[in-house]
Amino acid sequence: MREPRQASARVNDPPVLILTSLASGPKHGYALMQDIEGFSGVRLGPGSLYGAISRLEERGLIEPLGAVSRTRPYQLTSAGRQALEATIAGLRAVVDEATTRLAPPPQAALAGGDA
Amino acid sequence: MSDITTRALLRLYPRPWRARYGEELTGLILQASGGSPSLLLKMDVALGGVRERLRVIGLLGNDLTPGDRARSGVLVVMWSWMLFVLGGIGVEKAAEHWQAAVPPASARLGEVAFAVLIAAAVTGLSVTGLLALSVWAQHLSVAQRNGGNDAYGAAVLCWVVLFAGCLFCWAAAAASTARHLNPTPRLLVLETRLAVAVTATMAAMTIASSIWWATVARSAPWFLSGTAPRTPGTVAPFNLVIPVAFMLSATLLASMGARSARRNVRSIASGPSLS
Repeated sequence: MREPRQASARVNDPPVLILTSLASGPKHGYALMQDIEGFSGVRLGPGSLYGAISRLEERGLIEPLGAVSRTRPYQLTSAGRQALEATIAGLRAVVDEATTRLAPPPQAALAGGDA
Repeated sequence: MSDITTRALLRLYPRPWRARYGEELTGLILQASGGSPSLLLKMDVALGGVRERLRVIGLLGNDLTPGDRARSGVLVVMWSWMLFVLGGIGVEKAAEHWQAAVPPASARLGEVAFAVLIAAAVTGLSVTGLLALSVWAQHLSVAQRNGGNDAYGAAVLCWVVLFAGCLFCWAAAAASTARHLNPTPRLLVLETRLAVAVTATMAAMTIASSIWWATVARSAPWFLSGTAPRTPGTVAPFNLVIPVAFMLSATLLASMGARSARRNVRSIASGPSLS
């Protein structure tokens, strides 16, 4: 599993998707799958989802709610919220850089370069 | 998905992981599949199990210490080698008598490759055996490692035989390669000089070993027999006679080869003189 990192996390990483989904409130496994598919188009299989859930829980980024059952919900911890914010900041920096580079160069600079 | 299939897939996960997440994963599989799981879903669950197993043994993630991960990596190589040997045995079986079916002109590269394949297989077996012996030796005392444990002694002997087989196979592979080469006279002269140098080295080592043996036999014979200091014992123990006999035989054989090479390389009219 790739733990969310500021600069190297990818938007489609299961941990990032799970943290993003849980940011709007606790969800159990199936609700997570549906929500993630809804906002990202990525359909995580049960094995991939629970692999990522177990890693996130080990790192204290999410926690289970209630008793053990087949539909046990999970929620974001404060550490998980911080990790998600750091990941978003890293991704945003890349997006901003890409946006800046894609913007058309100012005409004045072009004219100066030609002269 | 049937309960049997679900249980079989969950078996792929480590026991502690199953105890913690097995019930939830089962519920999710049932909900996601609606009773008729796709092959993709089964593969996803199975791959998840393999990933968790690899994580437990340290091949994925950073859950273990670097030392544990390195140790796990070595052990995994040992287990992988066992699997590889099974495959290799299959290839060897399928390749039986292949030389009879392939025309000699086309078989040259195949012969060399096959000889290298066998030599590499025996080398891998030797290395794996050495690793296993090293692990075993860590659990034995010095006395047990030096003759106090019959099973360990037998295993070491088997490994020595295997290692000898390894050397033999590489020599055979080299000979097979050499048979298909057509060296220039200059290269042949160079090879002959190397052969003479190797033979001279072997002779020097054999003589040195004999001198060492004679010296110890005269001043401390009990060392050779493995008995208590200053007690009588044989000066020609089995574990010294056999190796030195091997060295002597090899030196004599090499001398014959080197002599023949020298004599014949001189007769190549186009080649430079050895003198």
